[in-house]
Amino acid sequence: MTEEGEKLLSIKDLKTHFFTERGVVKAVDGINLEIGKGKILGLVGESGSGKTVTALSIVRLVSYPGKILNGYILFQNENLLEKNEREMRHIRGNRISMIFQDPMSCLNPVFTVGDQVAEAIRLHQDIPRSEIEQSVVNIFEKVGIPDAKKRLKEHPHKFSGGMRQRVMIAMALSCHPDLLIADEPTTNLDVTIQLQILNLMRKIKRDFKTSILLITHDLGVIAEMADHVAVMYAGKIMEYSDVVEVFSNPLHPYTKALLESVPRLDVETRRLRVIPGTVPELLNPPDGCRFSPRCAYTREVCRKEVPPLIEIKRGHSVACLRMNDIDTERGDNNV
Amino acid sequence: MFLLAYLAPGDPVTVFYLSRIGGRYSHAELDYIRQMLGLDQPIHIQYFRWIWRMIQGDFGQSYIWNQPVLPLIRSSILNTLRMMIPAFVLSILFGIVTGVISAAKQYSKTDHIVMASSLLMWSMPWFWSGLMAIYIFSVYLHLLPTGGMYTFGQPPTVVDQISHLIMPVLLYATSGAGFITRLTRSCMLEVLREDYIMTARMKGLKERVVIYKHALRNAILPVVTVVSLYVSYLVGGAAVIEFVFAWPGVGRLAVLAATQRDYPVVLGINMVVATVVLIALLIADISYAYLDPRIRY
Amino acid sequence: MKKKTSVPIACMVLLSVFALYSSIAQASPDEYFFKVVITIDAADTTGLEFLQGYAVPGMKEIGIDVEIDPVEYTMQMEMLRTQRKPYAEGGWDIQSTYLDIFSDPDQTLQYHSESVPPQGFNYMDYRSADSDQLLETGMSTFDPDERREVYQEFYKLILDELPVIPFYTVEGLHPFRAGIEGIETYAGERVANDDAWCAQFLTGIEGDTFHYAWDWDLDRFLPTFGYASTEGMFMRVFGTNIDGSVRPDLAETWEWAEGHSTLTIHLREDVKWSDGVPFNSTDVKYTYELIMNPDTGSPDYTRMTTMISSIETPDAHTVVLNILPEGRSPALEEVLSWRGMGILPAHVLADVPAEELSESVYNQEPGLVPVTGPYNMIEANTGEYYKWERNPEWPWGPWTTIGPKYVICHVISEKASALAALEAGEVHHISWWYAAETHYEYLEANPDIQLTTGLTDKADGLFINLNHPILCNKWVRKAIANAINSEAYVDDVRYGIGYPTSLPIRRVYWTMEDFPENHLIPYNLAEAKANMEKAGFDYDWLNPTTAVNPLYVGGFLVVGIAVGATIVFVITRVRKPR
Repeated sequence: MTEEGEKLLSIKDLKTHFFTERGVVKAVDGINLEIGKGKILGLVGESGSGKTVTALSIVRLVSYPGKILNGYILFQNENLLEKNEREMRHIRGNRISMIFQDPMSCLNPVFTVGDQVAEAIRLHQDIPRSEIEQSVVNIFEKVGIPDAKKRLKEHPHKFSGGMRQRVMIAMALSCHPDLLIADEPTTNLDVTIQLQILNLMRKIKRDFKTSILLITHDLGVIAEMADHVAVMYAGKIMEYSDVVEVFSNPLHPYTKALLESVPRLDVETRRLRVIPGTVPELLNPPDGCRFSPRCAYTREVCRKEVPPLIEIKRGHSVACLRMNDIDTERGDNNV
Repeated sequence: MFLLAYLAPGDPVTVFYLSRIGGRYSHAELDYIRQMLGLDQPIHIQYFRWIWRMIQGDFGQSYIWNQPVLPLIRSSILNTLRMMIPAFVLSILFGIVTGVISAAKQYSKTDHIVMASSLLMWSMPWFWSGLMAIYIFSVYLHLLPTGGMYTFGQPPTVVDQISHLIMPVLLYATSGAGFITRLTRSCMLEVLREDYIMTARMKGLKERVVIYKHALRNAILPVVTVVSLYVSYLVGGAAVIEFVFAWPGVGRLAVLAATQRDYPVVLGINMVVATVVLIALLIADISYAYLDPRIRY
Repeated sequence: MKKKTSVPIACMVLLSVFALYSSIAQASPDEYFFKVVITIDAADTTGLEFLQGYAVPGMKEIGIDVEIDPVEYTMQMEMLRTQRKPYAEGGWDIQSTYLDIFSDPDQTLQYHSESVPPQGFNYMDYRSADSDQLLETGMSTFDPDERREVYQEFYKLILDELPVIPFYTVEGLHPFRAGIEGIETYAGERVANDDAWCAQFLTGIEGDTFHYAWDWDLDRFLPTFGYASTEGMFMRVFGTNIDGSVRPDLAETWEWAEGHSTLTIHLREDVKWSDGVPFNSTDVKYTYELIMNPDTGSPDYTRMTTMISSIETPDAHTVVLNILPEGRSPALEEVLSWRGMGILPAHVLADVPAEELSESVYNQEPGLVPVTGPYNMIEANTGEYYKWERNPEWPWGPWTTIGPKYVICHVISEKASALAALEAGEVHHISWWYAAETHYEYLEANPDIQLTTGLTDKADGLFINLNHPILCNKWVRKAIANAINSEAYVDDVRYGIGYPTSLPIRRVYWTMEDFPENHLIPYNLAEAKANMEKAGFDYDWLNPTTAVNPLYVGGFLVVGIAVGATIVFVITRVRKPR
């Protein structure tokens, strides 16, 4: 897996496990990812597949009882896993920032939005006190909050969901980060607002040359936004490629199933296809390929051997043992 | 309240003159005393007379202390506050700090120790722990006085007064702190799970700032509510500590007055303590508005 | 599922059978002759201990079933005062409480048939012509020896009739710090609660202040309105000796006129008030007239006005009391020795209107009224402490003792805290009111503490409702007295402090002189059964151990079958393959 252009972040063999009372949950189990400078990487997967844990692992905010066990995270050629807490604090909010799924609960209700944004600026940038307010206003205007000067003195409960997400983005952008991690940024928003936010993010990518790790389960968003796509399932990467390749030529049965479950207007189908079964419990994942219990093409070998992520062609990796057989064989939906 | 006091068996004359001094009086004599105190009147007359006088600021005369009620209550409530205010401040400070620490280090050894000891402090009955403290610090170690507000018969000094305060205040405070610790911890844990805490961490803030600025400001809201209700509990519980440490406070006065059916004192204390508790609740409400921007009056 | 429900069902069946069985068994009429209910103050733990351990077993043994009914103290008092009916009709059978034993029987007339509650104290409804006769004779007999004989006749009468059954004279336990001397007076002189008087006899106290703990506030500074701790301050014309006999205090001598229509009192001439003003007869006249003034609000008003018609002062040290026919009795001397009779200084108080005195500063604040006694209160803080200072004019007359310069009373309501204060050496003494005898062994083991016991004016005993159809029989009452093991109670529960007794009179009392020492009705169940037989109860009829009760047999059978059936049922269920 190589990448033309400069790499901003590359993750190698990252393992983040949760040591609960009931056993070890392998939320992220040896994944590899790369994000190029100024690119958007879409990380797709069902709920509970380990997307958010991956994001939190990058900024080292995995909370108890989670633990990063293995691997390295190279960010601008520095291994984040070797940083101490102080250095990490300097990176968070400054060079890497993050926006979260639910804008309604991501802002502290007892402080004004201006204070919350200014807090990050004050922390990371050497700006005189008097100018901080102005820079907050600037950034508010950039993310499209009208009447910024007045609104920054208001508390979050006076903002709508879309506006709060803009505030979150403003906060994330306040220190011009190199990497923005957006964890399902549009999931809880109305469709019209979703579009505004996505447009805003695209603008950000263009204006600030910021790389974005876009985490979502919405393939439509990925198709809109991403340059590259990583499909994640049960703590592992199943397929990695650029966005055109994934949508036109998906190789992994899971990716195929995902794509088939998206309603499409251009192709006539009688019924929407669903993937049978549910995401496996990560406390006790299936042996071999983790998708094998739900896969239409499962063979005995799939249940025994863990498929490695193999680069089949340039920039397209797949983790499936029977990838080559699939084309010749019709899948059976009922396993 | 008036009716309740009236319905309690025995009247003050019977209780006082039969139980304590001995039944030397004949019942004709007791009836005479009853008449002097106005206790022979029907209850509604007694009630309206009491209400009418209370409106004028006259809470009546104590039957057993033979003094006007109001100065009696005033001095005793000041004594109670003298012990309660430092205890309350200490318990809030201590309780919140330990609660926050144990929430921040959830499941750590510190957390377990803090939780166990706060449970112990909270659940130890004051009566027992007070006597234990007296026996350890006064009887065996001779470090602190057994009770009272100051050493009688000597000019009161600050050191002397503080040494009398230490045990009751600490006892009060540890119990309150145990309660507030547990409360703060659970509120903090709830808040620490909120998304905005992650946002704050993501900004690169120090953990200390995250906890004491972002989390505590939110966790303190329910704590303030419960603590303000706790004030009334403290006033009620004051009686036990005041008994054990011979502290001339309002709780002790209330219990003695109730056992002796001294209605004017009981009713007067009820009025005054109810006012104090209402003031505490009012302060809590006002501070709530200050702490939580979502609330405006 | 079925197996799980079968067990609780079986248990329920079993329980209901047991309930049925026990109700049948209890209905069995043959165990006891009759049942009485003993009412007691629920807070009186030693009283309960006595009943359960030392009275009820004996009574059950002789065929009297007993139920104990603990009630709130004031309820008990109210019941005693107002109810004359037996328990079955809404009243009471037997009340376990304390009896006042401080005075002559003629003072409260507890055993006189006209002393009917709620005015009088004859709660038992004891009506005996003999008793009435003896009490009336005693009241009008002035010669002490004759009077003593009359009273001893009366004692024998009530020992025989037993309208009340006392079992224990309470002795007060007075704990002191070691090294203090002169504590003997506490054992004798103080039956009540006046430590300021006793403090004058104490020596060996470090410093100039004697500290003691008491569990109650002292509130009234003038004895006329009650008498908490004023004895050390305001002396009376007559005082009382240990044996209850009257002695002159402010009086030097006194004499009754022929026919007892006047009492002439010659006062001491060497007494001065603590402000230096000489004491004289005006003070006595002022005080007595104050008490006899209905506006004052003195509780002794009725008693005094029914005995005295007027007071004269022929000279500065002579007082003549004109006595009403009802007051022509030696009891008047005792009335004048009551605590409420403390003489007040006319030169300070005479200008205060009688109706205002109670609420005036003189009765609200200490130190304003000069005294004749050894101490005067100078500071009073409700709920905290009270402080007395020695009277500079003390001692006078027969007294020679000077105690510590100051006496401080610490108000400590909680007994355990008071004990701790004594152990820590913060107080020299704690009052007997704390009833520290429950900690007797603990205190005795402490070398820093000395203990002395003393008389009190209380006895524990049983009031018997003589309107009860069976308890009205004196042989039944005698049987109950025989069935009470008060000696064992005193030894086991009271650590030997106090005395078992059957007579409601103080042990040390002048009328008890030469009275047979051994008047305790002994614990003797054979005697008790004999008394029951005299009352007409036949023990052959009452034979619960040998009688074969068909209900017992039936009950056992039912239970046995139920248990067996359940076991079989459960076992078969368990064994059944799934």
